[in-house]
Amino acid sequence: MSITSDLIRGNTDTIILAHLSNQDSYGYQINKSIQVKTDNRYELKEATLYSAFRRLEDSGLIFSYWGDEKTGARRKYYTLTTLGRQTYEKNKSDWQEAKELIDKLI
Amino acid sequence: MREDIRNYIENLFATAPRSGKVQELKDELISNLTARYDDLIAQGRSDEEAYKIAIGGIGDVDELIKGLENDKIYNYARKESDRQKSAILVSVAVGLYIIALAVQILFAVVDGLRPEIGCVFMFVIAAIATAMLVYNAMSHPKYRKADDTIVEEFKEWKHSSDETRQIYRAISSALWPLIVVFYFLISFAFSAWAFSWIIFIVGAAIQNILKLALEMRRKP
Repeated sequence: MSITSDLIRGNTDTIILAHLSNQDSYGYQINKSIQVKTDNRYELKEATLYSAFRRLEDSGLIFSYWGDEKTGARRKYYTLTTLGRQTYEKNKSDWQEAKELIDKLI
Repeated sequence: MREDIRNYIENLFATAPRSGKVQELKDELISNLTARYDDLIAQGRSDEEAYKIAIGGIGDVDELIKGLENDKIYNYARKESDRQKSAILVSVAVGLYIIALAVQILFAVVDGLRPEIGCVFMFVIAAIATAMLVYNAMSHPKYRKADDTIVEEFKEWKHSSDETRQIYRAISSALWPLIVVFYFLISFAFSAWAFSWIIFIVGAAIQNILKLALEMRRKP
């Protein structure tokens, strides 16, 4: 499991970008979808998630805004920038290429 | 239990510096943890269980807070001192240009002083001022790539084009006072008032050539 989580951790940013490429989202929703898609086998720690948000925001790949919630606490939403979308596409094709190579090697 | 989540986060951030950024992070954490807690309750978990799972998923926030604070404070302090240094350089340089002209006028007006020597002084002072402006434009810290991503390349590109613009501004702001000085020098020295105005047209041409040269340097 440790190699698996290292591999996944290395792609945290791309995983977040992938989720945001479908729709604007907030921290819990992203983590929830990771849990659902992996059948509860993987989830991000909040701290990991927020440092990734910070990193992506500083790099201009995403930006955040506070949602206008009718009920409950207000939520901080994130959205992809054009640069973020381009980076996502590039990371995705990089991953495809790496996967292909690794499949041949191991 | 919702209050407990809030209290837990308040405790976690008890030693963190109070700033807008930290407050935002706190609000964001609380709202996401609460959403998670509510979701777990809806799935039929007990209060206690839901609280434990939500809190257990936080991880190490110390690094996060540290990164948030140190980074910003450090950068801000450095930017501030850079700005001050730059402001002093530019204002002294502009002051020197004015003094250079005053010296020239003094030498030209007062009997017994030779205007030619005034010109030499004026050029020396203008040269110092120009050197200060160019130094100011070029001494800004260069943007360093943090890693080999497109983003970093983009930032570096953007930074270098800003830098080109700065150099252009610095040189052209030095150019025009020099042209004026040169105009007076030629005019006084050779009594060439009738046609020495042509210097200004030459000056404009030099500025455009400079602009072109910088543009070409920028394009690979």
